[in-house]
Amino acid sequence: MLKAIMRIQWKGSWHLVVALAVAAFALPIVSVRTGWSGTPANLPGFLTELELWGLFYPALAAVAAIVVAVSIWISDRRGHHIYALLLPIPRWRYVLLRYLGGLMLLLPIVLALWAGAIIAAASLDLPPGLRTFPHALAAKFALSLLLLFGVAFAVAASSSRALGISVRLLGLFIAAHIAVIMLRPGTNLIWTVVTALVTSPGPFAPLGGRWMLIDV
Amino acid sequence: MSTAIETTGLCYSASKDFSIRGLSLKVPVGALYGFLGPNGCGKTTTIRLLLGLLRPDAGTVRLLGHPVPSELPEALSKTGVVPDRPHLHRYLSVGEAIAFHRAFYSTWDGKWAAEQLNEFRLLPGQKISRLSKGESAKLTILLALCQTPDLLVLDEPMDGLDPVVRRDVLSALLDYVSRRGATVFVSSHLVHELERFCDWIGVMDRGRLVVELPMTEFRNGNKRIRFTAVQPVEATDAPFTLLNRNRDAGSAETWVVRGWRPEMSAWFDRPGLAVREVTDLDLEDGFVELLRAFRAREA
Amino acid sequence: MSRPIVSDTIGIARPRSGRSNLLLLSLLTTAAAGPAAAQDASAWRDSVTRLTAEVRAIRDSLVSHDSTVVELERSNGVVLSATPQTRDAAVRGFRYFAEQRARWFGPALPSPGGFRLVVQTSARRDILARFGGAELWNGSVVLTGLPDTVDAARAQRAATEKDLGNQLVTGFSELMFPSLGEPTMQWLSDPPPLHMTDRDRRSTAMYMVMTSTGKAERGCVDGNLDFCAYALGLRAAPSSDLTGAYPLLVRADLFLTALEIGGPGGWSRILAAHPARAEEALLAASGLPADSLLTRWRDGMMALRPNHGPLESGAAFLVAGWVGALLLGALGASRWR
Repeated sequence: MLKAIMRIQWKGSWHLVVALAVAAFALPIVSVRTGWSGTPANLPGFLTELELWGLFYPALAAVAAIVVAVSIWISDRRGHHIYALLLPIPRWRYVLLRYLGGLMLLLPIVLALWAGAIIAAASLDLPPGLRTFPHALAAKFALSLLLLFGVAFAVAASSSRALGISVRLLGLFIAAHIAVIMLRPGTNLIWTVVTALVTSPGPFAPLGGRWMLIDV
Repeated sequence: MSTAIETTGLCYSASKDFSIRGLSLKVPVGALYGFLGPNGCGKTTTIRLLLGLLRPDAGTVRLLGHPVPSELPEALSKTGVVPDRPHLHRYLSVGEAIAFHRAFYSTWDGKWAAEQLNEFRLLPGQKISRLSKGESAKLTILLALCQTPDLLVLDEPMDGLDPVVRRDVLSALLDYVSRRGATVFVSSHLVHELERFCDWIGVMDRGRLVVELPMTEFRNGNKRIRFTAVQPVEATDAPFTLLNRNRDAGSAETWVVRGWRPEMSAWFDRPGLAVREVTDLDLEDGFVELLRAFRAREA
Repeated sequence: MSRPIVSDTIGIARPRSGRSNLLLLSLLTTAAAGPAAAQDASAWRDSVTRLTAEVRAIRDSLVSHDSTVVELERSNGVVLSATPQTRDAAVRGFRYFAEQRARWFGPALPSPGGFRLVVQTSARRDILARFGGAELWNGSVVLTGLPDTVDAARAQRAATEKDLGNQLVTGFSELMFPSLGEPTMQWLSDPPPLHMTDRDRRSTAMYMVMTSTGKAERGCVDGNLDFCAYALGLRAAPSSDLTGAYPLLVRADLFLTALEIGGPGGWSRILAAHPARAEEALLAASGLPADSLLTRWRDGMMALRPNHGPLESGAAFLVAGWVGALLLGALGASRWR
């Protein structure tokens, strides 16, 4: 069954996966080649530039996660999930198969980034004091992708009703935020929630920090 | 297990204006059960409740002896379904869709699938998104049949198909049923379509089951009786059900009745009454009269 | 001459009159004119800038708040006063100040004549301020060193509570550091940034050390202590072709590391030693010979380097937990139950 699911998911989104894998492969290489002048003349500047390039890793992870999650579910959604719901397997198992199939689609993207990071790191003659982290960077990317894919998958798998409830709750939260600001200036609900989400043990903590292929 | 589908007191509220109320169906094993009803009467909603696509507000559903939804996967493994709307993954080819479907059914009949593919003149490489409506219907019925189910649930399977495709689909269906002895539950608003092959019939209107009985009983029990009467006749003590009555010119009157048996003609042996003619109603007329009487009673 | 707003014997606030403030203003202006003439252009500009800030601070006090300044706390010869609306923020800022003061300076005070730091707090009224952290009201916070006999106040401004605490620490350290003597101050150039957290200061310094490109700096990273001493400006170059010097923040970090290693009383030990060179000041502060201090400092720098690169420890477990929760959420979405 997993093989069958993987086969149709690959068929439905191979072109997107290939494009994302190419981007993932190119990102580390481009990031070091554009900033590296061949001499250690301006290492702080180079590292600062590399840190800015680091913003593209979580962005790429987000795009890949959303694209793959949407491409997995779009066909089922179009058919109102009827085909899937009529298959003779427990529904949780179908969702799990879809999820595992999605992970298989993400694998080439992670591997491409890993390969790109190794090649990029090997292509530089760095002075002592600086170290390369291709494996750690690829692992961080993989974990972030896993996390973002989990979020995108959960949203894409939801029924319209569940999505509607989520959107309404979000609207209520924003309204509460505005009300609180008006009544108690200085209390920022959105900031509090966002901070909780992006700092450990918040779900998006792995996306934070510095995405450095080369660091001290 | 004597019933393939059994519901008791099924209730489901779809909206403010429409609900299914106290639906109790009994589809015998091996029956070709026609589920009739006008558009919007709740046939598709009922089928969705049967297949676990919707959760009933009250009542129970058993499919091939399995309670739904607690044993839904077991029930679905022996049930072939043709939904009312296209549901296959459109980016797949016919061959890929078959391969995908096969992976979920251990009882898949590959040999028959190949034959049927040929019979339906479908090519494995054809994209589903480029199939015509008829080809799409053929593929859907092929998928449902080749999993060799004990029960087939078909929701308006012939709707919008041309006569040639309709004949192909019907013949494949009947061929399968004759070989496997499967139960078929088929919904339609096209009465003649069901008349030809169903041996049981259930009629639904406005979310309620109007009648459920063997087709022979339905066909033979619905009669149009023309008689003359000197004075107006009341049917209060009649052994049949009066569905409709029309006073013609003069003393002639026409009754449409249900539950007629030949010996009931004795009821008309009374002074001033003379039966002129007793004719069969075809399924469509019977269906229309039944609904008319049901709605009048409801009103 | 203005009267002190705090008495070291009574300890109760005496409102300063508007008239005495005006007097102080004119004295300040007159006093600033003399030295300014003898200074070079940039020093003169700095004086004017500072004077302008102080005049502005005092003008603000005159216009609105000083008449309501009351004493809130006092400890180790320092008194905190503030206008009522800034009272809570001032007390919190003062606690932070007292902590930092005890940590770096012990009970020492800048001069026997006392000092006065005035921090003008201002409220932001725009809509964006509503989205920020805890804001302050318009008001004054005054930190006074006893005996309160100085004529001029050092003026700072603060818009947030955090600013307020930092301004008290920074203003105080600017008064304290010149007492270390000319050689040490020349080496440090500026008082160390005590408002930075240890973590920020140390990691910034580490980053500077690791990315410096001169021969001496790289040699220091590789473990050559002579190169470290040269790159830190403590000693002359061991060879003529040696280049490179660490930024001033690295020196500041070394100085604060020495104070930390030496423990309580480090500041007093430096003052007592009357160091003729920065190396002596570091020895007095830390109680360690220069090479031992440099070794410990360098080892600390190396230990600060991230072990796992960009990957935080425990990230895998965190992700596994959240992914599990999200999957359960996906399964719980009505159609998939």
